Amino acid sequence: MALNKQNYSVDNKYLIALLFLGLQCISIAMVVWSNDNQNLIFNNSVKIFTNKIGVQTAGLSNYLNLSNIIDSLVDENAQLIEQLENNRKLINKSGSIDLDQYYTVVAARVIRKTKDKLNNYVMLDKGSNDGVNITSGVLSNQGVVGQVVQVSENFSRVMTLEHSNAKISVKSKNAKYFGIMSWDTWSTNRYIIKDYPKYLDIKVGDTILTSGYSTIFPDSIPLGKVVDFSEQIEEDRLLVEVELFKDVLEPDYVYILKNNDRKEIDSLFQDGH
Amino acid sequence: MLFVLVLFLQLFLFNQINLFIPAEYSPYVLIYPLFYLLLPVQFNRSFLILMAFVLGLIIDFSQDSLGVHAGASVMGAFCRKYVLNILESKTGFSSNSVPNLRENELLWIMQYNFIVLFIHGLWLFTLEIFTFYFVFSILIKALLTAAISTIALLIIQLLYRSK
Repeated sequence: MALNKQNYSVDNKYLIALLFLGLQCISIAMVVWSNDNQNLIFNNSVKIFTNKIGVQTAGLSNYLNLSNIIDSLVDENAQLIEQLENNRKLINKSGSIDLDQYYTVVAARVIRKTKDKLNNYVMLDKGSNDGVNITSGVLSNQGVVGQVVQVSENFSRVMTLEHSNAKISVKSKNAKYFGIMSWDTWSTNRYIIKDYPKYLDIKVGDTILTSGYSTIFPDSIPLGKVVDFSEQIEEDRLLVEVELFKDVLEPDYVYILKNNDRKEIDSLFQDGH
Repeated sequence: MLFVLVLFLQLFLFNQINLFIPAEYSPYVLIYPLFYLLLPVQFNRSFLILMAFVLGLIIDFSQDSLGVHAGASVMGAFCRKYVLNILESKTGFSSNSVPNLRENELLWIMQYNFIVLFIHGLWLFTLEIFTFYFVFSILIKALLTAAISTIALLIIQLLYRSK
């Protein structure tokens, strides 16, 4: 027996409409509020709880990937030792060098990543107990990952370069120009440098490095390669497209650069959460 | 029923690890909408919307995704009634009917799931991207999400039926 669908309804139409609109407004408010707000204390406590679970699952998947990880770590060690030896030679040669350590490096494991969103963050398993503070730079073994924006006792949250507010000061290997590179917010591993002067003769395949202008990242860290450039409306400026050597969300292990210099750090990253 | 809800959450977390390669058009695999899809047809609609909201909120918190899933769940739960009305078979719904495999055909369930999931997905990605500049991407994502989630949900429902 078919019931007339119009008549059989114990649902209060007004309550439903009210509930729907009200809850939607709350949801949209949350979306908008969280984008601008810098203080996610409430989320933080939940995050710490869920990250404990995240650490366990990350541990399992890391175990399965162990031999690859070992390989890349061994490669890195080789490079580091090489650099160390080179630097030692330099120091011995010139005689008086400031030996204050500018950065200390803390290795950390990525326990959670957000992917395919407008603002991408990764979560690391080192926190203030390990000496990490806000505005520490984060590197992978092949470039820059991002900057620490939130720290709790045992975890930290990193705003990666794939973030609508992320900017990093860069330079080309041969030129003296300093530009600002940001994510094109659309594709994976595509970044743009605006207003690049045409006269500097940039070519596809040129290496882009950190400029050392900010104190967050060391000088001349290779970031990626130029893959394309196009003319902007102002005739002598180019829009340069860069692809990083290593996608910012790929690595499972990163290195946090703790800046030992206690002076005020001029941050080129705008703090957007 | 609450137990089943938690189970859904777990499944959703599992599906979370299984992220695909594409960038701009990556879909999600959504399991939790099954919760408000499977509730009886004449279930008190305001309560349904409220529960969907809470469910979406929990998903949001576990995923750092602000209010996106909560909003999408509310939209999905709200539109569920209209979709059911449109898809209503000739015999109509009795007062106790539940839109699951026990009472309906596979194809009907597929349509029902897909349409509601598509609406859910559209609103989800609209909230997430929040501009209409990427309308095409939103459409594709919603379609893919609805498709993959429908398949996943069908598998789950089939498994549950044979239990």
